[in-house]
Amino acid sequence: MADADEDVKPRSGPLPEDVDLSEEIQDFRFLGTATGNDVKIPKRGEKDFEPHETALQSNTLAASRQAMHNALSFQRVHPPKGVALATFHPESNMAYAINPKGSPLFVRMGRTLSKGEDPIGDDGLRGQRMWFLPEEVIYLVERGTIDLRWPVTEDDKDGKGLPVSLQAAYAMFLGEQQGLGGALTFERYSVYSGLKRAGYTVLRAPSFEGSGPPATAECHPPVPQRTWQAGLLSLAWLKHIFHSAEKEDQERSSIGIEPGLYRNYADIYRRLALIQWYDPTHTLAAAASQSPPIDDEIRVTYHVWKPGSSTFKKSDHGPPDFRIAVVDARETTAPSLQQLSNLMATLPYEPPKAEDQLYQKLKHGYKNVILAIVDQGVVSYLRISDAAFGRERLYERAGRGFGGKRGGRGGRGRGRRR
Amino acid sequence: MGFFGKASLSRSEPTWLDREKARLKAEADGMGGARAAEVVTNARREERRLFKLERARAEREKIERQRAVEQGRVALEEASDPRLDPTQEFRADLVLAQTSSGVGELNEETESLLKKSDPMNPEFSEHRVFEPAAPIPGSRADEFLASLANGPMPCNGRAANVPNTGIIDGNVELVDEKNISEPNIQNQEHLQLTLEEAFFLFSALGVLHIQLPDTKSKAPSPIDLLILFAKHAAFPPLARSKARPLIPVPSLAVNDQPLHARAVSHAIAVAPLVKDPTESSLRVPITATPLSPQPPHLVASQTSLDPMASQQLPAPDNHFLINYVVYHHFRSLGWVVRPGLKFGADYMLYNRGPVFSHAEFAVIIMPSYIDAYWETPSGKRERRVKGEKDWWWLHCVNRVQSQVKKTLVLCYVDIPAPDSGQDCRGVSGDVEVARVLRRYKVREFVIKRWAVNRSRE
Repeated sequence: MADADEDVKPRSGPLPEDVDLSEEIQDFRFLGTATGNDVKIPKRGEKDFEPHETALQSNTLAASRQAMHNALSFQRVHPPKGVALATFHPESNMAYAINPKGSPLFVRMGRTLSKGEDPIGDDGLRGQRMWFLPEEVIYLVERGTIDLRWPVTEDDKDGKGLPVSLQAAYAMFLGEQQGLGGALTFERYSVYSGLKRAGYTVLRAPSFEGSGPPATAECHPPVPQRTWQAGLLSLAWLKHIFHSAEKEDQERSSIGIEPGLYRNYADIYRRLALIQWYDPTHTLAAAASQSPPIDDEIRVTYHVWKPGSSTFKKSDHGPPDFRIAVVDARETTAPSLQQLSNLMATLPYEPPKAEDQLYQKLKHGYKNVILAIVDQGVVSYLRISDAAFGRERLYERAGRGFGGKRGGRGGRGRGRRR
Repeated sequence: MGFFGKASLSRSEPTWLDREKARLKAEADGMGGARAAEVVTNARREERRLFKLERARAEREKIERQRAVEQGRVALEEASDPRLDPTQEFRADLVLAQTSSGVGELNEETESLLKKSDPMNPEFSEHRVFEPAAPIPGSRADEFLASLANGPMPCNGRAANVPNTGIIDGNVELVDEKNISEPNIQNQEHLQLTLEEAFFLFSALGVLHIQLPDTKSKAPSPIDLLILFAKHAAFPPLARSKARPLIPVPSLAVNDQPLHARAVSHAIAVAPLVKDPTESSLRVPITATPLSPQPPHLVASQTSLDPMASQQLPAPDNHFLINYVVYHHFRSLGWVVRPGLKFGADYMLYNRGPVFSHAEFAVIIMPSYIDAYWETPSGKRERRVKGEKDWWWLHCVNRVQSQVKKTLVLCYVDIPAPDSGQDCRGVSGDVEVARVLRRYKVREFVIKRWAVNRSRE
């Protein structure tokens, strides 16, 4: 039973999902060669690890540098019709623009507020006034899509207000201020802009500031409809918050299996079940884990939709494709059970499909969230899902002679003499 | 089930005897017999090594040729380099994939490479003779067959033919069970079981007979064994009494935090600067405390135990206890659980066994102190695991696992408060293993990297 994993030939490269090309600087020469629609941009260029002192290598390097320089020195212009003027609103720490056009970004960003919410009030332009949240404002100003101005005063000749510099925008919107646009930290903004640049639609989650709304019914697994056993259900499950072994095993003194006649493996395994494990499909388990809120909680920060999502509309978002929780790596440590269980309690229940394979079911989990761990501007995403290994009992799977093989010929054709 | 233990002279299961016989037979007959796993692996590794040397050499050649062309020394068709630098030749041989200048001729280099490779022959154990150390071969364990009457029992494939007894500091008599016609070799390797595996086989399946060195007559009960194994969860073994251990192990603490590179650098960073200019260095309070008397977190909490108990339970966050809880949990679901030391994890989970498929999951155990007891001052003092793991550690572990194509599973174990004496006792009044273990709760989370660019559609 040699450990088969050790004999894996090292692969020629990293896993496909580990290669994040945006993290590496690619060869800009390929941009020059990619003309026309039929040319596919190659994924990555050749990588040399050390200088060879050949002219070929240094020429190649110089050519790549020049290509990068050419690409980056391209002059960006704004079309005259596409300028969107936005005004900073200090009281609410947001900015508004009247009917902004000129960029497809506005389809997915900003929103109009109703009569009661609009800080300016219900004037004629309310329906056309689009309000932007602080992170949206900074992102748009960085891109140059909007022209942000300070509020108009009497001194302004052209009635537009002073332009807000990028530095001023950062200073105003990043911070711990209250109001509609508060609690935006640099970490959250890094995550926001990274995702926006990748094309996603990012909106704030209800738990952006504070704990958000209480867990709704969708956070709990569906209650099994066994009305005639309702009385039994409430009594029996109340005692066992965590999934326990069968009742008769409670009285067993030892953890061993009594010698005797067993006809199949499943019986033996069932008798071995002893340790309590958390069952996310258990309604009362989810409800009873209302632990008191701790100081450093992890909460969902953003709701993210995929770029090609056709179901997203500003008025009616639909359920998000991903939920991102932003965490500062320098201020926190690896999550504790308390933090994770509180976080999981706020998430909707999404069980894997019953017909999936075993590994897919385990990896999909019953609830999942993506943690964005930000370390001074470098973001790393980890997907955490609540797997319930106890629900996938290997011994109950259709047997391929499970456990009956006595070390037959496996692996790499090892012979064995009996 | 199955795949317990590791043989002492083989990679995993005991194949030493087979390999020895094959070697002797090959010497006698002049032809190779059936090959064990180690032989196949070594052959493959050798082949891979030669391939890498070849590849590195070809690369060096190419660069040399290019350089020669540019310097105008030779025309494009010729490939040889007249410069020969003997000192650099050696460097080139020893280094696998690096480039160096002044590489010699084609033939010479290959020859020298091959010559160098012979002494580096991997340890084909065929060519060595092991001294018989302590008498260690396997003996037939009759309890193994008697404990379960009928029906096949899930067990280690090899153990069916050559049953081995798990041994802890014990002596077992020699039994030679091979045929007379074959060379009469005494099996000199034994099967090593980890403490968790041994406890599982002993108490859960009841197929292992364990002899303790001092109490040869009395077989240990499950709870005795639990206490014994828990005591050996740390090195030096946790002592109940105040006796000084034989090897005093100083424990360095920086500001009461265990010594860790990050803790030291943090302590130095936050230490107040000494105002007196005559003192030249930062004063960082580093306390070196020897192990006598034992620091409180190493001694089981005795205050909360029933004074009438003759058996003192280990601390609830004992390393062995927590590891065993997780081990038993996954074994009872049907997974084959192997130690994960090679992959930087606590356990590896296999679907059917290491020979059939690669492990899919790597389990890391995270003890959690959620119970209200651990928030009290005495509880905080008695925690064995102080401090928390940081995000960098988590990312490192995750990277390591994904490089070897495994999925990381964080297994949080909710540690109960120390037993006040009532919970763990059964009807007879004795402490029962099942009740001790049933107080723990386990929750698993699967961690996976999420790539922004790959999840767009």
